[in-house]
Amino acid sequence: MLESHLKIGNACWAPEGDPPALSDALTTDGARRLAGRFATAHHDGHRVTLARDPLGLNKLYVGLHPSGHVAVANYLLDLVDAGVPFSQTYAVPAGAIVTLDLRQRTTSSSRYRRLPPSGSSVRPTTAILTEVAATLAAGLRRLAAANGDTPTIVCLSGGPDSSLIAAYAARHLANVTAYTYYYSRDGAALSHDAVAAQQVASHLGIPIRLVPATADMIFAALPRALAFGQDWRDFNVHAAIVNDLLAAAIAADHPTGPRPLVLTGDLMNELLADYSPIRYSGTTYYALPDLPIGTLRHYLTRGVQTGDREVGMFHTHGLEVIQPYGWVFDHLLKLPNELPKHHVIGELAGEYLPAEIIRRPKVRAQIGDYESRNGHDGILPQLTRAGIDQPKLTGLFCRAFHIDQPADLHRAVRAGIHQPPPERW
Amino acid sequence: MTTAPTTFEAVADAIEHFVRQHAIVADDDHGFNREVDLFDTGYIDSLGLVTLTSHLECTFEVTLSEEDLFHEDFATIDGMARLIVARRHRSE
Repeated sequence: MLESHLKIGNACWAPEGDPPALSDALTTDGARRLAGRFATAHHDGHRVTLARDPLGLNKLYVGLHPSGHVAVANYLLDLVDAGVPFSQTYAVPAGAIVTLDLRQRTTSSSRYRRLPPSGSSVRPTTAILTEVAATLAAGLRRLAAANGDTPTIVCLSGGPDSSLIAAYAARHLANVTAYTYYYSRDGAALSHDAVAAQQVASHLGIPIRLVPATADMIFAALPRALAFGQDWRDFNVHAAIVNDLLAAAIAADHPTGPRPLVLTGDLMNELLADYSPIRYSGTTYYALPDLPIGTLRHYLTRGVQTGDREVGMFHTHGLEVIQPYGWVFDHLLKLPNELPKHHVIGELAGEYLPAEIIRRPKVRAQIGDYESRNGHDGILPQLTRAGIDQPKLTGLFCRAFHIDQPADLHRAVRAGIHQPPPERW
Repeated sequence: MTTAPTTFEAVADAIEHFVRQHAIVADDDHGFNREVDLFDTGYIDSLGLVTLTSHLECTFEVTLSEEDLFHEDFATIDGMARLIVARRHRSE
């Protein structure tokens, strides 16, 4: 018997040829043709077949009962609520098709797609980026054709990744609005990020809606970020809080009519390993493994399959999120490891964005520009000052998912991977 | 031609050396040994595991699957050495 809690819609398409039926995702050839995110399950007799997108953007968790009963879900919490202990939750690996034999209680798994080695392309960089630009444009044109006048929201941080997506959206889609999170404090000027986002929106000729967040709103969003962002690691929890507040504002602004499409610039930072640890108040946060850049790109991208800071968070507000960089992950991963990000964004932006936007230094929304006179100290400083540091987040996550102790959590999730279903159960 | 250690003892030695260095294990830490669960005891955390697996793949010229991370052998130094030696023999 299959008990399905798959609530999150699939958002995938075929860059080459006609869009296949979703059931095609259950075959190796069909799944290989799809770009975007999907998680699907099919029950046929004593077999359950499960397939998941190549990056694992849609979560696909499985609970196995000794009786042969199988429960599948996008949200771990749905399995836990259905009585499956966290230690017995499993994830279909990204880019895999998994078949469960309910009679034999066995699992067979095949990978239809794997991450290419980082920096492995022998083609000229310009040729790769031309292909990336064409695929991004084709995907957005396809969205425009499929969704008509449905409003499109771009989550615009003011940084180059989301600015590029905003530029493509403004060119290919109608009715585009930028939404920008900012930490709001009485009497303070707008954050650097919010000002930069305003400049980008003005340059592109699209309206912008600033979404203010107060400290109270940040704390109120934390339990939701843990539960539906499905992660306890500080960086992802903080990002999930930003997304929860953005999603709440978007949903509130569109109470009737078709729900808007939400586009984001997520994933580029993983694909190019454009991250660095943050030093705040004498402590290092968002630490990274000490690896060469190419290896780091691989592990960061592989880790996307665990945690749900975007898709899971937006869905709880009835919104489906599209991450266009996910359509071209293999091309972007193959780019040379030493290629500067501003070169990538610059090539893809063409005439769409001015150089000062492309080269603007990163300021993450969840961190804020706390060192500036404005004192926009963001989520990381707010939470850590309240004692909500990494051990506390781990504890809160364990409590929410009925996990007895952190060691049990780390038995089920290691190195950014949730344990796959066992061969026999 | 590969210069990576090939015998079980040599592989385990190399892994122990790496873990001791990475996890900053004191020489007089009597709780640390090759059969201790590196995760349950906190010698290796999630970031450390990423670094360790990358090191193992590079040093011993093996590919570790995501399933390997959850293999019961993978929790200890001796277990990792067994997995790696077996994997190398299989690829020869």
